Amino acid sequence: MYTGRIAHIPLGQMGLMTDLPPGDVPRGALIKANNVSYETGLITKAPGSFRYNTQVLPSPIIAVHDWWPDIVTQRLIAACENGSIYRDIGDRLFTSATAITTGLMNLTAKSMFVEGGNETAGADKKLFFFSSTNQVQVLTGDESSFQAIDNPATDWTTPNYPTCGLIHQNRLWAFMKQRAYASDTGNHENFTSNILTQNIFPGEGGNIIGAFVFKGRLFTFKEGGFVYFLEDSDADSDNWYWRKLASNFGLASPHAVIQALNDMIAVNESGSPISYNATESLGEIESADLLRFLQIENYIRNSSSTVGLEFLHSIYYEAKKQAFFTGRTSYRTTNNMLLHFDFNKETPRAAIWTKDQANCLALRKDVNKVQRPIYGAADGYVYLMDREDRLVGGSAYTGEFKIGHQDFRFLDETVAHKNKIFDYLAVEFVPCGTWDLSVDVFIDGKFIETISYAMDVRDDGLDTFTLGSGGSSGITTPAGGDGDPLGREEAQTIQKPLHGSGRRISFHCRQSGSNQNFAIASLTIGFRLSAEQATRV
Amino acid sequence: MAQFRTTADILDLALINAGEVTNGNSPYESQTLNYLNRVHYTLVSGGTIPIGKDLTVEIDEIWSWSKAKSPLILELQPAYETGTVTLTQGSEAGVFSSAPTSSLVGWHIKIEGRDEWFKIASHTASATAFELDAAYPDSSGSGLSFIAAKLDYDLIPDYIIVNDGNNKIEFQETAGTTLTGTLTNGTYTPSDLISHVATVMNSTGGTPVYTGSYSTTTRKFTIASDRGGGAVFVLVGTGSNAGFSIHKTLGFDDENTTNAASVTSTYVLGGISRLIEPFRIHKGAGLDYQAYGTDAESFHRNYPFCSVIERCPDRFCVLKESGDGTITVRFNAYPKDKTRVEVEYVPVPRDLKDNSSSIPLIPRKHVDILEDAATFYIMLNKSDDRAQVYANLMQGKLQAMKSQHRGSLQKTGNYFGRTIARRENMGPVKRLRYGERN
Repeated sequence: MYTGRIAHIPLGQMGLMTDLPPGDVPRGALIKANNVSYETGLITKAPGSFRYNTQVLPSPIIAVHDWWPDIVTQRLIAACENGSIYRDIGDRLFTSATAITTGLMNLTAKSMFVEGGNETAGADKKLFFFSSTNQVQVLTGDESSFQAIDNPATDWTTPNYPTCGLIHQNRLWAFMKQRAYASDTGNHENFTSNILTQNIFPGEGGNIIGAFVFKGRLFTFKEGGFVYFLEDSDADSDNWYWRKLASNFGLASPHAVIQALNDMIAVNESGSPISYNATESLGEIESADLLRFLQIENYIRNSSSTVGLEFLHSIYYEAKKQAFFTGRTSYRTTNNMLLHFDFNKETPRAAIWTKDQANCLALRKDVNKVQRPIYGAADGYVYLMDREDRLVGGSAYTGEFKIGHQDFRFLDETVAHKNKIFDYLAVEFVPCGTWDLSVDVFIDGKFIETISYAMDVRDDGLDTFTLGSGGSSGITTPAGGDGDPLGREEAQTIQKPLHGSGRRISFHCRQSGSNQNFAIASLTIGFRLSAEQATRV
Repeated sequence: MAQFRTTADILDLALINAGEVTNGNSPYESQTLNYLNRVHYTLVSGGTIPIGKDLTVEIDEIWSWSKAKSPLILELQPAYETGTVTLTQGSEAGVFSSAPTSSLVGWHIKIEGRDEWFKIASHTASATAFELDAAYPDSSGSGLSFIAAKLDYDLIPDYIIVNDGNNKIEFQETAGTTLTGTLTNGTYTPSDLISHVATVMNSTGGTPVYTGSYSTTTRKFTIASDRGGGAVFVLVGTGSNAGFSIHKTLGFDDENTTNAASVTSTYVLGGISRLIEPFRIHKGAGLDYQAYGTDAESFHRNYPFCSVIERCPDRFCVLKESGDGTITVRFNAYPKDKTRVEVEYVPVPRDLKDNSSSIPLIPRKHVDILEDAATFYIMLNKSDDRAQVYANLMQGKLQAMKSQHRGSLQKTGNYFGRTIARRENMGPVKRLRYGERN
């Protein structure tokens, strides 16, 4: 019978939490979380990304949009850095990479697609394209080319064009410098008559960076941290006016704001996602900063670059209650990481995904009309995210996480400063396949060893089943046992000896194999108390 | 680790037993090697091994496996009494009328007609001048007859035997490429041996030029390379011929040296861990042809200088013993002619190294004692509650090792299986053992 102490560390309940003294990192919090997901309540390897187009586009993709000109027709529109826009009709070829529009100047990831049209019964849907360096473009219905809108505002001339837009109060709103333009309600291409044109606190701050509609209210964000909202409760639009909300929030880029659950999250100019719901309720900016709230601010700042913030993209993946923000690590000139938040628990759980190099993010409906995340990359491919295969574009990636350096004070304060003789590590997991999870062991910060844990089935054996017994459904049905033919719903525990002693221990779990996954439920450490010996270095 | 023979194997096993990794990342790895060396040294040389609070195991066995392969050979020198000396009262300086051909430093000198012996503190070979270790207290005189005798000897081998067991020299001139030279078997003085080693290296290697030297002061060997042509110089102690290499004889460890222009041996030549038998003198040394050791106080009481005469010595005492295994002994007489003395001893054991070329002296059947001991010490260090288990294991195995050793001696003895009723029936009765008094 084991006479030592046993410490159980459930995983998947907390995400990254790094900005704490090592001993204060809560049990189950992670100090490294790369390419992992928490959606199942366990820590799993982040799902893969499938390369959509078989015909590569000739230039980095800076904006991508799932375009439905009608309820049955799905198109994929991608704008590239070379000034061209491409349309895919579902054959994954983008018409052999033939552009439907060319000659747009200086496109960057700030560019955006905005859906509009359908102003009147029978009118086509329209897809507008804002780029700040070109006249606003429009794709009408399922036409095969973009055109400049028919009636732009008179002051939209070279080199000044709207930077972003959105639909609000039946109008297409466009924003340029410190001014808001709202189209005719009957024609979203008409910015010359029956329109609204309003300066938003002119002279204050810089240009308008972006706008967003949250809970029916239109917010605009200006350089310098200024946030305004449109007071449009009056039925007469002539009485609408802008009110200032704050002067120290700001927005990093036109794509840096999302609605997540009942919250608006906007990444500010310093790269912090700000929860506006929290801001409103708590009244304090500090409390609204998600990075600070999750205590990962320093970690994110130190591991990412602010250089690409003006091109940041974000999306909220409602089906999985997840948010993604693009980013880049230090010294990179293109995006190479995603900041991932999982909102399935009361407290968001954060991770970094370096497997995806997303230039721009978007949502695309799958065959079941569920919106799934996609992204366009610098390599000219559009990637469909959240794939079961653990591959990105056919290549393997590393999923890894590391728990805090535990001194087990959560068991008993008196054990924190004692040396411990570590006896075993038990990994509880849900079997995923015949491959291993590698666990690097760190004692008092020093790497000690790597232990492998097989992630395959180790239950009472496979149930008997007959391949294809489900008939035309193609589903294989078990003939007996626990009804789980592959035993995948059975949690397994593998216990292996640990070596070494010290005050603190941490585990870095990782897996890099092609199409390999893991689903870790908990770690359990068995140790015996030693004494207060000096640290051996 | 399958062989369980080398230090690296034993060290890894101890680490595993103690719950440590063997990949070099354990903070106890270097300490474990220290533990192994501590126990290994004690087993070889005698001493105590702590196995718990206020509990030790005493080791004082003369293991056959720990003895030197061949005895150390000393040459006792006859007295020098050619010519006369001149000495001045109150002065330490003196003059030989006839210059001795070799240095008489450390010799004792007695003036005819006087009782005292003086020690010669300085003298150079072939010189007439010398100095005593203090001012001459008696009346000045010249043309004084004298006797100079060498009574004190450092136990240093005058000769080194090279045979098939130690006639290889391995070294590198290109990193990673080991060259092997073969020495000519024979008997060498230390200086001749190191010169021969350098000659073999020069003929085996390429561009670099090697020289060798032996210091009679430090009793260590040095091999130097000019590292010509951009060569490196690494003396290899872990090569395929490590078991037959001269590097151990020269006093180098069982490891490769780092690239350097010269390397100097770690251990002194002929370092002695302990003397284990009376000295053997095969002529005129009383009944047993042996010189027996005794403690210094008894020796000086029983054999004062005034009684020192010319005859084959039959007693000696250890005057001093240094940390590196250098022992100086004093005899109770000096021989008429050069006399060969054979000294059986246990050499200072080489430090065990964490590699597969380092092999403990302990026979394989007992080598797990090292594993258990190192495990115990690590666990003790870690306050591991299993430490006492290994202490008990070690204690039991040590006891078994001692019993087996003594049993082997008995079972191979003349009287094994016989009942001896009276001691006087056991043959020659009066047989002194080393350390006993007559």
